[in-house]
Amino acid sequence: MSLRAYVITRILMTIPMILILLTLVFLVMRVLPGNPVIAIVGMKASPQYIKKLEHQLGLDKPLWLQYVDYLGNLLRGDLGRSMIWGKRPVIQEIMDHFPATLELTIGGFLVSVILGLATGMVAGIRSGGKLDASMRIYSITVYSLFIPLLGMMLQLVFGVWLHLLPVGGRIDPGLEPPAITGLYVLDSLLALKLDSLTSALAHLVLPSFTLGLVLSGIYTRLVRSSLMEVLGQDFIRACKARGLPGRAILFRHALKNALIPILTMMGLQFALLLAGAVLTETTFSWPGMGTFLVERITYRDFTTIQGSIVFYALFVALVSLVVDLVYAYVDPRIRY
Amino acid sequence: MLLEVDDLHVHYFTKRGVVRAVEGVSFNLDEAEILGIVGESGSGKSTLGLAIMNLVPSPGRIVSGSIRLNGKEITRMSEKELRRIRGKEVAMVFQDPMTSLDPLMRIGDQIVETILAHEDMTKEEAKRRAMELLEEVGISRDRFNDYPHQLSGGMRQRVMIAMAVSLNPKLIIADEPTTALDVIVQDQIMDLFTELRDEHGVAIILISHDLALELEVSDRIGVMYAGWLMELSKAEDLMKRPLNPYARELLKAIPNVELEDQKLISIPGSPPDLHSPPPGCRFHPRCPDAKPVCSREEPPTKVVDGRLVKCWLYG
Repeated sequence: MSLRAYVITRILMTIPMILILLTLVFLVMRVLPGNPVIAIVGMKASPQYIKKLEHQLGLDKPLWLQYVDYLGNLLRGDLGRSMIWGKRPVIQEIMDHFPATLELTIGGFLVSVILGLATGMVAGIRSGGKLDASMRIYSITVYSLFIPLLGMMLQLVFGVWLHLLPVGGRIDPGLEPPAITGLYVLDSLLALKLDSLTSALAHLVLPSFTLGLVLSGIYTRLVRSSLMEVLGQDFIRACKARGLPGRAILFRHALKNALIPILTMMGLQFALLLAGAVLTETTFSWPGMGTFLVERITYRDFTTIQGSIVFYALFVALVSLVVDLVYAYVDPRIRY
Repeated sequence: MLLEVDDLHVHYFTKRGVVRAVEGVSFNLDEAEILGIVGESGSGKSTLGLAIMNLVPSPGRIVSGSIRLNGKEITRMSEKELRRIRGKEVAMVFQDPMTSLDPLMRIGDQIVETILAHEDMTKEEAKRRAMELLEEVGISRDRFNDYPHQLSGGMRQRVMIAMAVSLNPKLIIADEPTTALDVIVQDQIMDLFTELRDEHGVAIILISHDLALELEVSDRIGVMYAGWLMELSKAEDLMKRPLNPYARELLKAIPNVELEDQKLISIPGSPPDLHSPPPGCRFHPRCPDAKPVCSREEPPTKVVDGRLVKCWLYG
């Protein structure tokens, strides 16, 4: 199989996967206890009024017809309208908040991968030594940190005491770049607004670090064990016997092979980061999906919740597709 | 003299204690000579091969002795000097061609990489050279862009050999190069080695557990047991009249296909645990000719009719 054939098959395979996901979300939302209409209008509403609303929302139709409507609307990119907040389209509400979360997630992801790779490599190369032991202590320590606590400590040190970095929000007021992607860092770059860029980056440092530091511990462990395993393999000894320079052996051969199992983990971690961003967002008053969803769950805004779940599911499916494609690009054994 | 190994000791410092994997091994090797090293698993033959490249894996280390390649002392070289010698003056072919190539890199690029690590050449020149090398070992140059998993075991071993000869080394150490391959492919690979010797004058140290194979291709054969070099003789001398009882028993154990109803002969017992080898001669618990002195004192290495033998029978 060529790389192109693999890419096409893998993309086609995503379709049934997404269909199963969507069906699950649909069923779960119907099976969950609690009538959404009563949630909107309250327990004291008259049965006639409830009937009328149910009809408006299409909840009196047979289940299969609701399912068909649901899929049809999704195909048109319609996630429905919010049940409370001025009946705004859910997709718009998500688009207002998701870029902030995505920006934070990417920041956290980069921090966790860079820290995790660096510490894991040191531990793997010096396995059994003192550096290895300290890296292992590092990984277990950061992994057991509680995000809000770490966030507040960083806010205290870098914001309150040292006045180095802002402690909340995404950007200084008035500096928002023109909305193109919704990612402030990218938008400021595209609009060539340097002051926006610095402000957006400065605001991103502490939340990304909080999120990334905690999750870097997993990479430390994974990279360490994977690198140790590869370094013990025959082809590494064969590389040495051919007189290749140590740096070439480590980076061109050992690390590349060691990163293959880590790659899968990165995809899974990215999804975990999206979810984990909630705590970080609350700590840093970050206007993302986390704070938004928590609020809507309290108000039982069913359409928004369902829409967000669908959106997340699609996004995670996309990420895992990308990971698999990168995987196939790096590892020739997958493609054939 | 191409290679002189003198009183070499290699120990592994494990948690359970010191393993004396190679003890007091000495031999010389001339250009264009094929030296066979035979022995059972754990006899120290692979460690000996790695020691010649100063590549003994931790916790192992060359404890004493000297290894001179073209008169240069390998045991005292820095990592940098060693890197220049490895691949360039002495190359190695490993046992398992399935795992000895980087699975993520095209085979051609792995050869090019090896050439460029030592030679001042452009990428294009190295690529042309790599293609020639592939053809020389019997692989079509269109396979240059193949990944290791697209090749059969025999082809991969050919790639390993192409890589080993890419820098025209004077010496190739082949550690069980055909053990992972079937008999037909084994023959082809062996032909390739003898060709290299005949046409390019490369000396080869052929490490194997297969005495019959060694007798066929080697000029001289060293027999190792539990870290000791028990005998070092010309192949035909060893075949006709082995001096050391261990070598003699090994020869007896080669099955003869021409005889019918022949039982497989084996040497009773098993090799010692090198954490605590037996006192005296390491082979004495299994030796049919053992005398009282054998269990007390280590036998000396003597020269008998121009052959090296370590045994009290000649002490």
